Amino acid sequence: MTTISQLIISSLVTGSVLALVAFGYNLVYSTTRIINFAQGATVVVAGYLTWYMNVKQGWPILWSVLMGIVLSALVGIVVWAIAILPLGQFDPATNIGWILTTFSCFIIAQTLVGRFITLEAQTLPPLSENFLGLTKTTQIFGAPFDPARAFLVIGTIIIMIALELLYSKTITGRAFRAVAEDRMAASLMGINVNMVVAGSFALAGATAAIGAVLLAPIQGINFISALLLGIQGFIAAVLGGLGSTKGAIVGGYLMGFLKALLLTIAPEAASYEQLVIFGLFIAVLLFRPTGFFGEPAVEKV
Amino acid sequence: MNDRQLYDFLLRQKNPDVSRRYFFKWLTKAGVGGMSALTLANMAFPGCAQSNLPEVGLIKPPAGNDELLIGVVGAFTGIGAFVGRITERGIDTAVRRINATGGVGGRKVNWLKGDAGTDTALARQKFTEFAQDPRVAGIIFATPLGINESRQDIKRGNVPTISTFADLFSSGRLFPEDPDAPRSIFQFAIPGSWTIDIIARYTREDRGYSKIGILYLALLAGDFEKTVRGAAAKYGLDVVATEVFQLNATELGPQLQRLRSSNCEALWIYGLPNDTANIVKGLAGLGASYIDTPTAKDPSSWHPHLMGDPAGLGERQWAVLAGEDAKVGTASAYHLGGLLYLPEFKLAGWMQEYLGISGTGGEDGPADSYYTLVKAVEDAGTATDRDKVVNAIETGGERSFSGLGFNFTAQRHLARSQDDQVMVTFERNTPEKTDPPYQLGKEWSQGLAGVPFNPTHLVRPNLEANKRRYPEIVATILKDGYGTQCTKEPDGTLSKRCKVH
Repeated sequence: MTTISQLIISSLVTGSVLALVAFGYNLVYSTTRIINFAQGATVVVAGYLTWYMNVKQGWPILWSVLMGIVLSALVGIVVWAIAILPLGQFDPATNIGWILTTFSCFIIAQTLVGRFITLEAQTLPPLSENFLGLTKTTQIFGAPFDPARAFLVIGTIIIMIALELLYSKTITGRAFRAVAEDRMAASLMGINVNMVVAGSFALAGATAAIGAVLLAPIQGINFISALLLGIQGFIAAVLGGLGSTKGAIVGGYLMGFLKALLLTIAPEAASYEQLVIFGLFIAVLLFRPTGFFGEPAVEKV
Repeated sequence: MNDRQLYDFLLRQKNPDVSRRYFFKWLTKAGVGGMSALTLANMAFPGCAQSNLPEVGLIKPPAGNDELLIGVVGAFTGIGAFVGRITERGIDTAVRRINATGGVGGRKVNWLKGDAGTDTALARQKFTEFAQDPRVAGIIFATPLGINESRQDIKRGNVPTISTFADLFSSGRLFPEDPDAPRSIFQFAIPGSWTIDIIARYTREDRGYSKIGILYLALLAGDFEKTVRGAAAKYGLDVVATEVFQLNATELGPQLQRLRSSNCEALWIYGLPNDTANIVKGLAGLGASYIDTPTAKDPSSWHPHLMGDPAGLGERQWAVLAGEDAKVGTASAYHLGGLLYLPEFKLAGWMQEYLGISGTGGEDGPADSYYTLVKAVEDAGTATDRDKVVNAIETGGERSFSGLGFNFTAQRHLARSQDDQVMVTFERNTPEKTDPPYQLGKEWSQGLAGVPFNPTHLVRPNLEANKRRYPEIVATILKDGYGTQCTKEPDGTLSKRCKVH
């Protein structure tokens, strides 16, 4: 029973992390059709910014988190302004300059954080402890489930619901969807496409910040994880179907489950985890390139 | 320890920058891609991969400039610039000290900076430039990147080279352990295999554990596990569980559950500080935090004694990240030269005198490396006959410059010995209440009084070896009470019955 309980908890925690990153990719992809390879770095930058304000500047954790979200949204806009905007109107399928520009932003972010904050691994106090005073780890059939992990899982679900509501129930959300559907038509309908695209980067940045403050108490903040987190989140997004909210959720949690299952049934699996994940990635690209929920592109003739 | 030394020590302990060992771990991993690319490039363009260094390095003396120059390849800019600053401080201090005391054979000394950032190919290029520069008498690698790739050139040119931070010895790539390795490379870095050995000895002979579990970073697989198992077998330790984890793993639950089932008495953790902290928090979640040695040996509950990686558990950072879950007694290995606060070590005073700054630790390696090369030139009576310079390093006997003594021979290209090693344990500023009690070192009642926790020197485990090699330093430690010490037995020896460590 302990094994099954541990498997479920590990799946939920790992899946939540991956779903959050996949979500960030989706937010940008849906409006621009590009992958923001700086997304993993944005999570880490947001974590460092929050840490800096809380630990170095002595701000209360609530203000630090809120300011971290705002600054991370700004980071998202800056990434858009320097990596995407200068490219002008382009077809992401044929002009692949955005791969280099977004990845360059990753490197720039790392260098700037190292120069002005630190590159040493840091952590943040659990929000569960700060806001609700929860410190006690619950044992579920012998598997520990601490409040920080519970907050990560619950927080992820709340973010997903909130974003889904934003997309489906608000005018802003409709504008996002309109741009995703057809930029030209959206523009003709009076939607400021650049503003919407910048908004999607800002939203992805804000989501990254929330992810960072949920993840930092568990795993810490460091740039070594940024690349790996970014790649695995990207695989989760592809697995579920790029551009699909449901896809990000399913892709993230499915990958989380696979990782946990491997570790549970095969002790030596940790050495080969990357092999299995990237193998799965290649298989998806070969046999179902649109993922589970992605829609195949139909070219009208 | 005077106030200035204490201040230096505290600065080093509280330095908010990335620690150099942590950085080098990262750098070595980050450099894998670059090294792979370089290897592929070498395969594709073999002509470009080999420079045309002379077979024997009789090089032209400098024209119009009588300064004796040493080339230093290091990470002076970019993400590793803080290591470059450590290197720069150490070498600048050495240069000023040597020049202030008359230079070498009446010549002033100086150095050339070869900035490689974090680029393996650039490190190799800088090495090649120095090796072909007739003014340069020797080269220091103050970065692990590029030295492997330059081995053939070092050998062809017989270039006197010092590896300050890279460990070639543990993987058998240092002469004479590897007879094909360049004879002109000498190493200051403490070998990782030695740190595993001393931890194994401490686990068995000092703490009396017999069952250990290992939890290590998947990237270390291969030689690492072989080395660990070899050390465990040497001291009669039974490895009852082996688990691996990925870099920055969010979840370690399945591994920890299996380790719990194995009921190991000691758990060796090899990973970076953030992974280590994650593991320690996971153990706390399982109610398995370390308490003391008798509890760790009790088969009715699982509270393993944590030990392991100097870059993980020897750093302060893992405890910063783990918070209250970091437990007193968690042990790692270190070397005596790291105890900068000891009055015998001169470097901190020189830095203050010549540069007007305090060090952050690690400056002794570059300073001693520099001294080794210029002293060899002095002994050889030539800066241009590389054979003679290499011979002079091998036959120079016991040397001492910034701190600990060192000694190279023809059959030994390592500066340090296993007798240099010490164990360090994680401590809070108040000792745990144990019977018999133990006593925190003098530094805790002085400057460290304001520091809530820190890894600190554990005096007993390697005391006899330390005494053998450095009797005066050990006398100071014992007389003045530096480092954590346990209650003395009636015969004056330090008790092994310390419950926590």
